[in-house]
Amino acid sequence: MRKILVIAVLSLSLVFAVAFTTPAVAKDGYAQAGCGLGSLLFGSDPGKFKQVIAATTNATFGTQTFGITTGTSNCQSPTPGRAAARSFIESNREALAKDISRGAGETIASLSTIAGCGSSATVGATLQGDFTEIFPNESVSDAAVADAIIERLSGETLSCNNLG
Amino acid sequence: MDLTNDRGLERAPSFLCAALIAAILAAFATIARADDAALGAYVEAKVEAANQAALADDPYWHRLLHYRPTLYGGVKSQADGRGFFLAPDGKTNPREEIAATIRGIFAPAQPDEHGLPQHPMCRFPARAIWLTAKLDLDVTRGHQKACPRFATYMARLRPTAVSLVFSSYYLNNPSSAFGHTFLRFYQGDPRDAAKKREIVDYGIDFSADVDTGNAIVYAFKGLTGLFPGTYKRIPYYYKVREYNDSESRDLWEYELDFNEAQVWLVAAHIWELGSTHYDYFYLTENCSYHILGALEAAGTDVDLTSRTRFPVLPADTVKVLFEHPGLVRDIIYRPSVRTQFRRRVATLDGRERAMVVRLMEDPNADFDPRFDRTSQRNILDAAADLIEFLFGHELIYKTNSEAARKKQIILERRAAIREPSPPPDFSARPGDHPESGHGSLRLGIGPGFFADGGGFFDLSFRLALHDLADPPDGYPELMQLDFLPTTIRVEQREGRAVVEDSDFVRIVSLTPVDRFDHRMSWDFRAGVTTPRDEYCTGCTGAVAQIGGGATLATAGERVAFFALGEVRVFGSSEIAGYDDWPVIAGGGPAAGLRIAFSDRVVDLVRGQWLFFPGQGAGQSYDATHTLRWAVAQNLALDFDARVRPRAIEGRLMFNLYL
Repeated sequence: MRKILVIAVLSLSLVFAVAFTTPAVAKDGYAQAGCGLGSLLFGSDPGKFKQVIAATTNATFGTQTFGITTGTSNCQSPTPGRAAARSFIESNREALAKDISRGAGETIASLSTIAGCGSSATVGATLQGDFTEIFPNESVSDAAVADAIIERLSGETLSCNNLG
Repeated sequence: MDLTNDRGLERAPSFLCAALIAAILAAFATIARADDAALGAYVEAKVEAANQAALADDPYWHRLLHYRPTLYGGVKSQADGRGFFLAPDGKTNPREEIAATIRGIFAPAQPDEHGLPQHPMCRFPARAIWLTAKLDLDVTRGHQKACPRFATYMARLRPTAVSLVFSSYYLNNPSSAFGHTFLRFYQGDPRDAAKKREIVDYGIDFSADVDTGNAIVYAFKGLTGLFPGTYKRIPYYYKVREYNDSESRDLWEYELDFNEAQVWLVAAHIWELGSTHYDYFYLTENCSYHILGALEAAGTDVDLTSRTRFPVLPADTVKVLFEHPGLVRDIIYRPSVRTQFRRRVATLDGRERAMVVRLMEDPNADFDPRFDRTSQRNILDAAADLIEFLFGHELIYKTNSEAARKKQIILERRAAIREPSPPPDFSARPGDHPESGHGSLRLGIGPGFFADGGGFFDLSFRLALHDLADPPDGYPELMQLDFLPTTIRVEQREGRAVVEDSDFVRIVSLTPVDRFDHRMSWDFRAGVTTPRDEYCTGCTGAVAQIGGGATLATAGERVAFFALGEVRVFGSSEIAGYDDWPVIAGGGPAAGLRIAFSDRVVDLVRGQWLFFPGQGAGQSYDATHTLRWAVAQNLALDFDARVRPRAIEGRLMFNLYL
């Protein structure tokens, strides 16, 4: 039975599958509300009680929706690409700042994969060297941080492939 | 058609045209009818074949439709959305649902309840695959040739493996108390350990769609199934940030030993479930139950939901995985920022730790010249983790500019040391694993005696979860969370049963105070008790008590001393307080000592003195000592002593964990 199922799945995948291409997300396709973690989970006004609800039932109140069949969020695409890299940077901004200051870490490795960079060690070292340009102060916006990082990732030193 | 003004010629061409058109249409109709007729016959033959093979009774069909037996001998699906069923009575009729699905696969697309075209084959791909395999269907004969939206979903997931992810408890945040489970669909090579640590793929979550901010309404609707629960797809890194950073909760990923076809089926089934909802019941059909339900699409030998029991606790659903030997093929541990900080600081010496504290007050403080580059690097790394641990939530929501400023300075100083930090080794210790915890339900029975003569029998029960004397493996060291902890006493001399203690909930959250963390410890109980003091012996009444204070701990939290200030309200029809109200209120100090001698032997002493000024006897005290010895996997012995104004007692209890 299992063998038949495997064959059926693999052959029918052709009917169900479009080529594994990157989804066509416009360059400015991520939402105006931003993909930052806070706005994503709670919109603009995180009341204390909403936090309790979210923790207990993992409900989300944000402006983005994550439905399986109806999900419209453009923050939803960790597959390779420039918009995906932006989403990742904005959503992981605090952890990424910490890892960049250390020149290494999980968020740098993940970002390197999303952006198609050769070596996450080189990415880490390069970004660490430019820390104060990327994060000039604590109140710089997530979008500006993303701009600064992507500029460096697509530059000559790092030449990450998936930022077209 | 050339309409000329020549009357004579006009009529002949239009008639010819009309005749030609009619003939062509008739020809198409005949072909179409013949095609339709052939297709129809083919489909009906397949429906008949399904009946002959009794596919409607197949356990896998019941899995996909989530049918459960009812009391009246039939079945009913747990899915509550109308659109999940193609047959009008599909919720209770597996045979009609199979027939409607087979017909639907070959039919043209119909608009769904949102008015969007939704072809049944594309809406229920797992069903389509299974029916194809069972009945040798040739779906290319049908009207629908491709499923672009489903294909996009699968292209985004591209799953090669699936993991059940458990986020652990963190009691300073009581809403996390039971943990939570969700799924991770992994995209890379399952044998690549480094790749699996990256967070570039998707998580799938099941949660209630809450429409109220009112706590009472929320509690009521959550318990009675008045919220719809749906699956959500969210980039996995959001979950990591939310749990690890914002809420300081460890994550455990349990990778399941499924082949790619099974992973595909689970992903496809979640697509099917994505178009419906379940009524969300906090105690039964909750997040962790429906996550197991989705995994069962992998095959009928994966038997998960039938092994759950009331209440369905997320940690218990993890244990269910381990009831299938080999089902979990890898475990990835992602410690929270809190855990990361604790591990880092354990590698620092005293001077370095003092410097970390100094940096919290003044991030610009100069390093002592004795600290070399490596020392400075380690100190700054620990300081960065500490800031995130204490202020993680506020940093993400940008509500604390002071913490953000301090973090900025610390990170700038760290970046100036142009060296990468070595990869940390945050492996879990065996006693940390949630699946190693004792069973959440506890039953006890045992004899006891009073110092002034007479014996008794105690019966105890606890629905969930863990107290300070329970074997510590798999739970936070200094947390107590009990639901319906109840002790009933049958006394020899009175010959009656008394509810000694019974609470709706009893919580103790002890956070050791050290130079890094000054947060408060607290406890709370609400329920019923029989005080046995000078004022009231044998009077049973309602009690609510809350306390706050501090804890000191050492030896890796295994030795902890705590002191709390308590406030209590007690009411009973048999007492009279101020103005003869049947309620007395008061407060006083409580203190305790907990020593975990090993993962099997825990000693707990607790005493409290309560003053009720101007009421009743004016004061009361209660001191207990429990030595609990876990003699076997789910069996423990208690050696207890208790002192109250009117009862000094000793007791032996036999506890069974289920």
